[in-house]
Amino acid sequence: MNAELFMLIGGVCSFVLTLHWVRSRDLREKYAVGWLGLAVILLFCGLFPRLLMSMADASRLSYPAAVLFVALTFVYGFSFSVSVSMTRQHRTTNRLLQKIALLEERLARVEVGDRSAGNRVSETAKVASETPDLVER
Amino acid sequence: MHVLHLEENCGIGVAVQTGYMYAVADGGFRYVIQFDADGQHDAASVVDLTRACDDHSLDLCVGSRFLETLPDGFRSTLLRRVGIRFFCGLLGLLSGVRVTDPTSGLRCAAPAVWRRFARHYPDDYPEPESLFWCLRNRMRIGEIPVRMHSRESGESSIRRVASVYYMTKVTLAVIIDRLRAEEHTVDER
Repeated sequence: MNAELFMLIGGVCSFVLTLHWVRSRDLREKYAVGWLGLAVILLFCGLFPRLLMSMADASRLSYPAAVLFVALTFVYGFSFSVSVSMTRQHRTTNRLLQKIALLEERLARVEVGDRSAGNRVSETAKVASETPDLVER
Repeated sequence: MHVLHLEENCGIGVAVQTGYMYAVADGGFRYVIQFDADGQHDAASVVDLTRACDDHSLDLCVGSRFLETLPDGFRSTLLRRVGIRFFCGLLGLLSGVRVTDPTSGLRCAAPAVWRRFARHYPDDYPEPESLFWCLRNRMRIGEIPVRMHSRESGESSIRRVASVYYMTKVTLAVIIDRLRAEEHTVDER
């Protein structure tokens, strides 16, 4: 099996896989666009090896090394963006859990107050407006 | 007594920060005390902390195990003391302020500090990093000598393998924080 054929198979597989995950709603279209882009690049490398070969020649790399370089760059960029979005996701989750904890405590207090004396249910909404914004930098 | 219950274990930083958020939502507090519930801290030192804040108009007062040698005080294990000395050096080098116990979790914060902590607080191993933020942003920091005990139950969040990660993460976080611009907080006393 030569490198070009390998690229072709890889490209087709990643195309099919990406579409499958989107179809089953396990992958957001936002990320699928990037992965489809990678699949297209792989397919191009397989279909038109001349293209990459001339690029490889210009940079004095062998064909497989050039393919590896392109693929690694792509994978690096993608995993990095995943780490960043995970960090943001983590912060959002924490903020939500914190707000739930504060609201629960407040609700418990309001319910106790309700039973004994005044009716202060309207105050439960206050916590949400007074705590810091959900999306923080 | 009010207890805040977090649905998931989000780590010490998030839990402590929820307390600071509670203070912001309530709005009626002058000082916010951070105090370990595992028997390490002595409730009597809370009075000394708030008094030190009042007397010297401090923004943050830390209870230190190493400021004075008090009889039968627990001062952590040898390896940990080495780590603590390292952070003292690091924080002193990067901020120009000498502290003696940067990992102490017994602290009293005035509004300028606890309002900021409610907005930003480190996720894990938060004490040295949040203390450095205060030093770097010209908050008035003080330390008073306290006696601590070994914990009655539970275990530290910093175990053997994790300690390498701990040292690296906190060092990196402090150095990166040094590269950030100084924040201008409104003095709210």
